[in-house]
Amino acid sequence: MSRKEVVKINDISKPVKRLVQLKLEDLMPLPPPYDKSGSEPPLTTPKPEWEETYVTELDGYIAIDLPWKPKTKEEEERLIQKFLEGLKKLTSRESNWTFLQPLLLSLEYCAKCQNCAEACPIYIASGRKDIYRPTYRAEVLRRIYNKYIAKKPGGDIELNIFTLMRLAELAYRCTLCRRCVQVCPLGIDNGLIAREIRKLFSQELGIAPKNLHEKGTVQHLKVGSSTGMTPKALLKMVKYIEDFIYEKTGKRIKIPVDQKGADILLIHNAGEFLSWPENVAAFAIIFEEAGLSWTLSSEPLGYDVVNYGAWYDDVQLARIALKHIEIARKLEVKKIVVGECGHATKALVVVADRILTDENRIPRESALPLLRDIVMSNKLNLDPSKNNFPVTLHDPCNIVRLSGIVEPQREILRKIAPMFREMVPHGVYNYCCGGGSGFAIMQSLNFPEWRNKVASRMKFKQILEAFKDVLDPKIPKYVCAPCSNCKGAIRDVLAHYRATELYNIHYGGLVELIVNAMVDLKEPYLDFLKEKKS
Amino acid sequence: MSYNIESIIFYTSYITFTIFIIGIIYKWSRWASMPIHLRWELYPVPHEKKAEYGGSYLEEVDWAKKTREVTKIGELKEMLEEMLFIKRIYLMNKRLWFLSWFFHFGIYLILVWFLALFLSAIIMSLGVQIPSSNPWAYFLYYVTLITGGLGAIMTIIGGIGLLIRRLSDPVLRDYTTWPDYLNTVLVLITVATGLAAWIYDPAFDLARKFMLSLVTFSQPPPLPTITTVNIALIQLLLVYIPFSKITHFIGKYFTYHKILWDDEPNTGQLDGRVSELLKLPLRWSAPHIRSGETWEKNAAGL
Repeated sequence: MSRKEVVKINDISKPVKRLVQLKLEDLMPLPPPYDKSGSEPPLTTPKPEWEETYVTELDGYIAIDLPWKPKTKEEEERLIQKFLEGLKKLTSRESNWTFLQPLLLSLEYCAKCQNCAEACPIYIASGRKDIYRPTYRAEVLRRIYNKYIAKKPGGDIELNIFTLMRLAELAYRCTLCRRCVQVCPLGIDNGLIAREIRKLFSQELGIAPKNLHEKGTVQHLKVGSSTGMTPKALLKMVKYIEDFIYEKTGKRIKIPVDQKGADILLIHNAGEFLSWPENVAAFAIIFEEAGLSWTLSSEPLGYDVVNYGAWYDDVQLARIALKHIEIARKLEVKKIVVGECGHATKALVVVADRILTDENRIPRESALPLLRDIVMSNKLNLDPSKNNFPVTLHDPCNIVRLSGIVEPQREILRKIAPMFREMVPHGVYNYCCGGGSGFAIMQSLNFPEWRNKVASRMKFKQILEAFKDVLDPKIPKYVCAPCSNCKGAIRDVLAHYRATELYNIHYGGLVELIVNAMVDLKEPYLDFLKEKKS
Repeated sequence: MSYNIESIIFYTSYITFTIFIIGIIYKWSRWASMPIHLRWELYPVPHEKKAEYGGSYLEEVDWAKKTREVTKIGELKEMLEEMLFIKRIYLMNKRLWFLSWFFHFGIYLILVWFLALFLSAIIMSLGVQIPSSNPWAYFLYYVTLITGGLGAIMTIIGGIGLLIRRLSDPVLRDYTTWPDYLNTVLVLITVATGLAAWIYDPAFDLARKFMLSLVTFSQPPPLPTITTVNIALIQLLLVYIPFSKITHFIGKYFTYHKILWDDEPNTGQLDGRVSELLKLPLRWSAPHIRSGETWEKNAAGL
């Protein structure tokens, strides 16, 4: 391990303007055709006025877009005190039973061997910057905990305002993909520690990125969707999608809404309605063609399966999950099926499982196994040659590594996409899209730049490598990402590098590909195929 | 029994071993009695039928209606691979693996050596001579000889290597705190004195006799100073281990079996435990939380 200069644990409390400054030439090189200098946009520096209000002391990027930077000594003191009170709660049975055992085990037993660093796409993509090691923020928290709460001997740390501000930002430099945990000989969960730090800041200090909290879970619980979509707007949207289906396919489909007693309540990530209505439409086409008994809900929260609590707050997580269950119970459905949304699958099917007691125990499933069964049963008349272009699959961490749903999506692709190729690595050892843990929707200030340049870098590299033999712009290529947030991150990274424009690389979900293969469709369902023809 | 140094070492053997056992039980029960946490598994989960590629029962439509099949053999295999070969480090970092495996495997051999000594003392108390032509005596004699020597050498090579690695790499040096060093150094000194004592006791005759005296509660044999020092250090280590990170073997059981591989769905069997926890009051003070109200009421959106 030879290196120029190490950013040490204790450097986190250094009273300097910036702990590290990223440089383009330090970042992990990209494969051709992005291997020449000048083939990617440069890095920017934060605007001077941002530095007054926001925390730019870590790497100059701002994830927490709240004006929370303390102005006076008293404010600093108050924040530090509150942080310590929060840490006490975070490590207590009463206020944090939900994750107490995993957290304390991870704080106590890390051997600091750094085996995890090489598994982390952010650390590698950054050009191996020490602050992005999975162990860095964890060790900072561990030392604060040992010194102030557990009163255990060990490494010292100074808990000043710089430590606090940087730790809060650092909690948002990890996508919670938990690839690091897979290689830890002791099962230490540095991803969990990042989430626990976020929880501390949210649940005690009320500090969280606006897109996650104020415009996220709070809006979700209040209006019905984190997108701000009201039930009325949803009903309009459903009408629009019915027309959209007719225009695209000539099929007249009545999308069932609030059908009491249907077998399946299908809940999408509401972002799909606004950004990718073709995904919602494709689900309706497939479900109708397969003759399922299903319904959407127009109740507040019933049409938005997202649960941003999964990224930063246990209380919000529980509130949203219980609402979803309540809606399903009112509709008397047999089960909830989660559309193509990774974190929602993880949150509702897995994480919330134990708090759903007694009559709240309604079966919850990912849509992927159901789609697999539909495609494999030949209920749809499909012609794979309609998908005769290179397709690769992105594995959403929350669906694959964190829920063990690996094969259904592959079985479908092997059947309907003759030019399907895997990324390396894939399946449970995949790399995150870079949009995980809320990053895909955190669009303010300069955070998207960090996401595109660092967090999504490994995924972009994998995409280019998967298509390296077909980069010719005449050949359309498709990254299949069955998850809204992954799609958001991939959309942004493709735009950032102009990969669609220059190399004809497109992205989308899984259901769109299935519908595109339907024999009775005269025109391709995927727009980029149509554009090429005309 | 006269009060010489041997007899002190003799009595403290019982005391320190008891402290060790109580300490380990305490450590174990501390983790075991923690409240049940939300599900946070990580695939591949080796007891899943589809563990080969990391799949789970969630790949099935209507999984809640189907009987869940698990394979304990898969879990056992993964466990042994990890315990005996430290697979996760092997796959990521061969240099670290070499040192870590030597160190840990050496310690396992030393544990086998202890067990062989103990069994030797048992059969000696039944009148069997060691060495002798009795097949058990023969077997235990050679097991002791091989595991003791090889174990100590492997532990020392691995341990020194790990220590040098930590001291020479600027990143590892920064992360390592003095209790981390103390753990390795204490193990190393103990094993090193054991190796030195071996010179005076090449066939472990003295070690066997001392163990025999412990098993039969009788006068211990006179011991060379280095052996006394070694036994004293072993006892120090026994008392120290429960309070140190050396108990990571306990931690590892919980991180794997109770968190990362715990994908058991709640079909009602956990309702009781969870309901209790939902009645606990929440003390968080952010504006969106009703501080002082229970989890249950907070989650219901009250």
